[in-house]
Amino acid sequence: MSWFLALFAPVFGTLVSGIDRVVRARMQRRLGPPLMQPFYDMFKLLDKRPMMVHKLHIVLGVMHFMALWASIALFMFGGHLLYIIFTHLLSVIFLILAGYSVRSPYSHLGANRELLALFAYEPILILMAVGFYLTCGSFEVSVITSNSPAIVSMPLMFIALLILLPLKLKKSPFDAPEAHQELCGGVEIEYSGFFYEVIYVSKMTEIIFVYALVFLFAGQNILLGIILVTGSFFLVNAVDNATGRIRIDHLVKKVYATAFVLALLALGWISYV
Amino acid sequence: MYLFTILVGLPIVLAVGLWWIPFRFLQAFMFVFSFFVSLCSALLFLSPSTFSFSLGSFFSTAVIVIDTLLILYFLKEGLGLKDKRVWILALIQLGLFSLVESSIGSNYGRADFIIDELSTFMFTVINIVGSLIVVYAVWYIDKESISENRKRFFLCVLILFLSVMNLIVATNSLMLFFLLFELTTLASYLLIGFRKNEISIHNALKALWMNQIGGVFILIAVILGIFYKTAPYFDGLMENGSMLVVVSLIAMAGLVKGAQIPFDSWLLGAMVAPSPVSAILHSATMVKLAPFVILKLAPAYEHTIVGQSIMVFGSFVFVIAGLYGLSRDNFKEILGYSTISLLGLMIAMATIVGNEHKDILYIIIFFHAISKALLFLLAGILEKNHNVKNISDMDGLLHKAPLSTSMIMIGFATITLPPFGLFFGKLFSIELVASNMRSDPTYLFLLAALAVGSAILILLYFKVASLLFSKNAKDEAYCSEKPFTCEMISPYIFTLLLMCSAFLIVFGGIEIPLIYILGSLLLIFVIPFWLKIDPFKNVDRVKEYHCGEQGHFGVAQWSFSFTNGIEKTILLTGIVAFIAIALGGLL
Amino acid sequence: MFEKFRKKSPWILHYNAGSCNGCDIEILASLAPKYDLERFGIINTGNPKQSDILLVTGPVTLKSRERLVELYSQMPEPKVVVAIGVCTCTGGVFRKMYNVKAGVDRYVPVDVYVPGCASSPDQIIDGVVQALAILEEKSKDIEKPKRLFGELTNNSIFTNRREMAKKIKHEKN
Repeated sequence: MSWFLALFAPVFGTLVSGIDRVVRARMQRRLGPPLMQPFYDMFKLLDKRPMMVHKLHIVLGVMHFMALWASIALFMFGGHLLYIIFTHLLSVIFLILAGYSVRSPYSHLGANRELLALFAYEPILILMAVGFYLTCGSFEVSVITSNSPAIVSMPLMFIALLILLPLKLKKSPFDAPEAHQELCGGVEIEYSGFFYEVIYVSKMTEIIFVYALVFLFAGQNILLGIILVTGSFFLVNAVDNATGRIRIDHLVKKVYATAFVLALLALGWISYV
Repeated sequence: MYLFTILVGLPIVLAVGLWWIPFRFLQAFMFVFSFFVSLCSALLFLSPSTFSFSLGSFFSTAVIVIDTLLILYFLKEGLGLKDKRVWILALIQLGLFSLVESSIGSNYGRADFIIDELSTFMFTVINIVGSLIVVYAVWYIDKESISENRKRFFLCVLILFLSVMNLIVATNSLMLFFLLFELTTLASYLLIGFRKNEISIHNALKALWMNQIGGVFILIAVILGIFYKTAPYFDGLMENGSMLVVVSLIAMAGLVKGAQIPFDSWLLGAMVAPSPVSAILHSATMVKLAPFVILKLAPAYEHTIVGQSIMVFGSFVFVIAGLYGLSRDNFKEILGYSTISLLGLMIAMATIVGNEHKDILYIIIFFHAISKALLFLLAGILEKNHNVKNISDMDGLLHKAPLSTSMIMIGFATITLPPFGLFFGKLFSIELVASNMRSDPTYLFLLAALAVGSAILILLYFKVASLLFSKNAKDEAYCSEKPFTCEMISPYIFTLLLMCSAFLIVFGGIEIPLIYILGSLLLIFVIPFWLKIDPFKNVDRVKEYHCGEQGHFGVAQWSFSFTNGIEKTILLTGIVAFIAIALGGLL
Repeated sequence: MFEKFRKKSPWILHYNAGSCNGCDIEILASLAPKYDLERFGIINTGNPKQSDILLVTGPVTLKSRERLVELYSQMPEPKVVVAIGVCTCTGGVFRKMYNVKAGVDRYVPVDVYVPGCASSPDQIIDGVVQALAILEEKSKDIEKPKRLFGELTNNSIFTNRREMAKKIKHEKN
């Protein structure tokens, strides 16, 4: 089962992304693309003539995907939550370096914003891992998923994660790192054809990583997990449709003012009350 | 015992001997020396045994004489260079010192030197890292345009400094500690002012008076200790719980040496010194006295308000110093601030690791020393070979100096990313704090600081990387940089040590699943091989997207700085923290 | 093998070569929820490196032509160009003005001409659908613009095949 989940995580991510696009279109009273649209996009990208800016750029992009996949695999095999978060950090750093490695203003701006976004969410992910440790007694995902739901003892931490979701999924109001209208995608701008496909797939894989974190809050209760994931999925899409983009410095301030404080409160609540 | 004698004696012998060795053989000599002292310290560390010994009465007279001469020298420098603070502090020290010497009992029946596990660990840091930096220093100082005698003088001071450091981490007597503390201050003063221009003399004097305050703290501690009838020895302080103020004063002296926030400006000023000095004194060894002292005294203030305030203060510095670094452009200053920041982390961790988790602090100290030494050495190489000092000049450095730049990236990665030494130190710290979370509310503060501070360091380092990496589509070929030159010896050894840092940790007895280490190493080191193989040889190249414009586009960097009001508040917070630590001792 | 997916996910790059914005507004109208081009998988990427269809509007002024050529050559093959509006097709009322040559097809090869001033969304969608049929047939060989601008040394359109670039007529402006 773990093998299956880890191996096909990109495929599931693509599927979720397809549902995501349809749901968003329906929320705007549009028909929206077919459910399998992301797959069509991928096959089309395979068919394009390959082009690249330089070698290092491509290699770092591929390593970004590999590291992200590795972190998901660690997750599915029930590894240590801190190692998972830091492997994910490694993958984001690869992407940022890829953005920096080309002399393109958009790519640089995107990488800068990605770095600031990393600065905003990384501490909260760590605090969340510590929260799981305090409620379940271990950092191991396998132990956390065999415990009672963690959301009962730390609802505030769950709200903090909900605030992070748009940031990780590159959705409004926290989509400044990608910002299709001003930066044309930020770090991913210089990739094309097959190489863009790698970045595209890793975006889909990221979705799985994020919702896996949401699922973790349900512990052993799979039904509750499905409810949490579906609920947060619709919530994120509704917020995406209802809000505009905020500036990157506001993003950092707002995430610290809300999610970080909530995470600390949750930790204080678990430890001392 | 023999090994300890070698560690102290060999540098002194070499410092005298190097005046007769021809300059071109010097590096080879240093390398052999480095090999010997590294071997000795490693042997000491691996054979755990505690032993102690005292000095004869002749030495105690000599100590008094040297101390007096040293303070008089500071007085002379202060008067000669017309720096009020230096000579006033020297006069205060002289008064306090005579007070101490007149009232101190002659025979406490305690050992002057005790070499325990902590000392042997510090020996390995000082000797392995320090001596390799000295090997590099020979090349560096040879590039300066100064007379040969001054070059030899520079190396002589560096080597003698190693001997002093070896003594200070073994000493048990507070009076000896004071002497050696002042000697490290002297080394700092001489080496920062080595270039003898206006700014370096100014900064050297700043370092001098700030560190003299540390000396004053130690002297006051000794006087109070005598007043409360405690032996002025480290082991004496640990026996009696009522002497908390003495302990907190010594700890404050340590914090001054570690350049914690109100005193951070001396370490920043110290960056005008030649690069090997920054590497050896101001990041790898001397400033490590701060966590060393805190850890040594930890049993005395465990679970007291002093311990808690030091911990909170350390975590505060960990975050704030990193943010300060974001405003800087000079590469060495950025490294300096990140050193202060990580020293804050070490100090905070030193108060809580206790006896059973010392390894965590050892990991942080050891790998921080190596990473920072590597980065400072490379800063020196960039300065001498490529004429680059500021990060705004580092545009496209990967193209100009691929080898140095990749090593800089390895240095950055080892501080922030898995699977390298310092990263594991942070990870274990998080685990340790999490497991003790429920015992103490201040741990929440430390945890938040750990999370945010690490993120700030990532921000700091990879902001620098942004310019290093950027590269045109057209310039495909990298310039070649000679790989086998004498300046590269020490950086290579440091890089090698860092790359296998995770294995060293496993070897040291801490369990890390091997798959994590191998997996992340594979992820990182597949990149150079892939570039070498070049599977995309026939792929079309395109220019970067510039909205169709054809002109050249440069890239710039952002920086972040505090407003003036906040800077003052931070300074005030630092001073308040120092007062709080002292008051906590009194109450 | 993947040819049939080309028309299922055509991504658009829209370039305004000196248009009066009439056609641009119509293009945006057809992308907006009422006509909802996304149901065919069409996305407006704004990035030549990831797009398949170049929608050009405007009579191609002298200032904008070098950008047009640069953007065109940054698009990976297979690619199609759709000229939208009568100015783009022939120069329209601006033909033979001092700042305009005649039409977009002097600079880049055009696959579909959509007339109208301004073209209505129905026409645009029709044109794009016809372009999709052409896109499916195209090979992956390099398609060259008809002219190059700027300095050739600085122009890295075909860095690997500078020889090929030399055969194209080159204007220095």
